[in-house]
Amino acid sequence: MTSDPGGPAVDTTAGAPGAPQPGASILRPHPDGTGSRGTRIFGAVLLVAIAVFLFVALVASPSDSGPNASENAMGQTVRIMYVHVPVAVACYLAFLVTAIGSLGYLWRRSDGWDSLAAASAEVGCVFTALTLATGSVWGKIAWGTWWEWDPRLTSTLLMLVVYVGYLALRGAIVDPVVRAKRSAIVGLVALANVPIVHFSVDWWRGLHQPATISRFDPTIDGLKLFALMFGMLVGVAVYGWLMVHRFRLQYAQTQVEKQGLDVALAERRAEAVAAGHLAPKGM
Amino acid sequence: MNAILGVLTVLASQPTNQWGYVAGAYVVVVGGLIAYAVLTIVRGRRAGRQVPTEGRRWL
Repeated sequence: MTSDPGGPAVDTTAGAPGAPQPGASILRPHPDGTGSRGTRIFGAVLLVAIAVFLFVALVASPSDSGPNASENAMGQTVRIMYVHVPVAVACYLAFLVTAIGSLGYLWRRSDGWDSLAAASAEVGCVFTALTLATGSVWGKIAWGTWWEWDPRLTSTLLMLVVYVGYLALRGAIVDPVVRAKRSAIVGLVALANVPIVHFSVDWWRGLHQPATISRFDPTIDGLKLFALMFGMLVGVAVYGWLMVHRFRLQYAQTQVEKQGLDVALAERRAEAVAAGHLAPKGM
Repeated sequence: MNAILGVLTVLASQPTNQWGYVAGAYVVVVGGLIAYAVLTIVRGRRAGRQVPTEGRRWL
């Protein structure tokens, strides 16, 4: 990720050819797409953390049964919660970052904030889809059905639809300024979905169980609680790693789009000059 | 017959079924995230090739 989401980290026009660029010692060009030494180290640490998490979640932690069972007594299905809750937390975080990026764009009007919002919305949609998928698997065991029009499930699906709509809006508007402004407004308004989804289990009666840990007396403890908390840490770290790559991709796409606009403008200008409607540049 | 029914009952008992669903959930999450990560990296490489080297500075 560039050092400041508010704008390009380096003025690429500064300095003569061959002269050292400002900040070049810190920000190095990377020929291989969105990867860098930092992301590779981060990714390696993340792979180890994921392996440890899988061991804790699937092998080390006990099933939710017997005398130490929680009030929901989920049996082996408690292990689904160790991935379901982390991906849900990651999707909340992603949409919060989308709103922050949107607010940043409306405040500073810079491409970096817009790229941050767009990148996080896409990653958030992936995590929301995974939340629904894992919840559906859990529901098949707990409720005997893959889907139920329960307030939590319905509001989560609605949230996914809204953010897919956000991405569709971005794809439908050609003008980058209009696109960034309109999607920033949608990105801010859409954040209202997050508290609705989170508190839906408290506001309306449904099948979905109430919060497990976001209260002062969590309903699980010991290794089960550790597996869940560690899973949340890994989930947020995975979101962070994906975001670094997705932000760089968005940033590169913005640069490519700008190049295309510059070329198109130069071509129109050349046509106008050739037709005698416009004086050549510099005269 | 009773023996077969007994075996089927054991096979269809809750723990066995639950492990299948648990494995499915983990495959969906890990597989989904790996697929998205690979897709993002591939798209990044494709987009990165179109950007001048100096426009690709990051930490």
